[in-house]
Amino acid sequence: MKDSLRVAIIMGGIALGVASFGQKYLPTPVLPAPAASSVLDGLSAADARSLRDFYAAMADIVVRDGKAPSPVCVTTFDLRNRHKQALQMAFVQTSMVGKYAGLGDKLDAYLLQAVGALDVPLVAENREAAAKAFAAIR
Amino acid sequence: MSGEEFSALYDEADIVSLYDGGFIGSYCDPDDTRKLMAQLPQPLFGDSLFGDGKGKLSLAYKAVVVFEKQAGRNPYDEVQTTGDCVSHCVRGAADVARANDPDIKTDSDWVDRTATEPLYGARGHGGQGASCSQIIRWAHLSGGLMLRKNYADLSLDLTRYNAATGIRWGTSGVPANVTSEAAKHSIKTISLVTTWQQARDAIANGYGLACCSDVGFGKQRDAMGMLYPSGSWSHAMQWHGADDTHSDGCRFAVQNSWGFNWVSGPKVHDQPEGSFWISQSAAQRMIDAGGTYAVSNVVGFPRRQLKDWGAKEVLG
Repeated sequence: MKDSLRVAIIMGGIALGVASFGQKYLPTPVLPAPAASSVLDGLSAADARSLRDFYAAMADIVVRDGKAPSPVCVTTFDLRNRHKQALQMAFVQTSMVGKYAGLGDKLDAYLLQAVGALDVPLVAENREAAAKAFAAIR
Repeated sequence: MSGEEFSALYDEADIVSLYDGGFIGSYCDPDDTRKLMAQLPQPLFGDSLFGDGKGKLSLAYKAVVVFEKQAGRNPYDEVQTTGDCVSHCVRGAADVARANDPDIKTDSDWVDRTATEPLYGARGHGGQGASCSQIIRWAHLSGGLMLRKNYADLSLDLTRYNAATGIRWGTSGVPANVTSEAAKHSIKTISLVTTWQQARDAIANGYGLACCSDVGFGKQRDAMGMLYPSGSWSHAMQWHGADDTHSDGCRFAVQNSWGFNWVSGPKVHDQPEGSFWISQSAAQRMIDAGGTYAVSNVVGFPRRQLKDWGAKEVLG
């Protein structure tokens, strides 16, 4: 799809949303989230393996953290921040940073869709959803 | 109402029989509701959080269970012993909003169960039962919330539920010093909910729902943890879960304040004792009574939303 057509569709959606729900509510336009299997498309085999291993570890960590007497992450916002910090520690000053245009956007869009966009307490259900979402990045 | 009824305290079985028999624990006063709406900056919940709970399983009670256990309590174990269901319901909704606030942990002096007595005491009359709009107005505009603890400075021990305190204040009014203390932690925003979608979206964002209606229910949950309308209860109950993952409509988790023994049958999604799920149509029927309020512990109903997961900032 051409970019101009995509923009026209999004703007049309916003206009329709405003018309439907009045001025108080302006829905956030969200581009479709990529499927987990396509997040790593276009990466070299080595880079894809690095990210896959990283997210496999995240999947394990989020489950084990939930079983701890005092979990480190108690809200989705905590998990979001720990995820970001872990990415920084794992990949800062590596060739991965800035190497693939749109990779960060794809990961963010995918995780917002798969784990959730609400800042709410982490309970068994959304921990499990997070673990599955992380593990599916491969 | 006779003097005997005025001071009546009941056991668990009596309470159930009373409500089944037509006892009026809660009532929606349309005139007072209109007056309340005129006092509110956001009288109607409207489309504030439109669609946030669509297609999702939202279990706001999970955070309350954690919250209560951290305070050393058995979640949802308080059984009303008089016609103070509205205060139990509003308390429950307020605690949902607080327990689901990601920032509440920064306010360490305010992490325990809310007491019901001041809320019931604010009903503005003797006898039993209460107007939903009256109680929730007090919690929002003139009074507020107090915890289950000993307020030694006020010579008021709210550590354990004692319905007699709220009963007594019905006629005399809540003492001024108690009202002032409660007002330090008022319910910051209340808005009338008019559709099941609004209820779903409020719960998905971790806000509480206090519902007064005259819809009664059976007492045997089915395999899906559900009860269905049966008879009439002039009753107030909080809603703390929404399940919009089924093709036959959104279901809502309702918490009763009659203890754990009045209802039996299977439970789902670790729902708390004493709770049940209802259908979308039953939910809308209850909302149509005009006494369902969304409750927020902050100003407005901000979407508790993450903008990203930080990958863009790190990887570009």
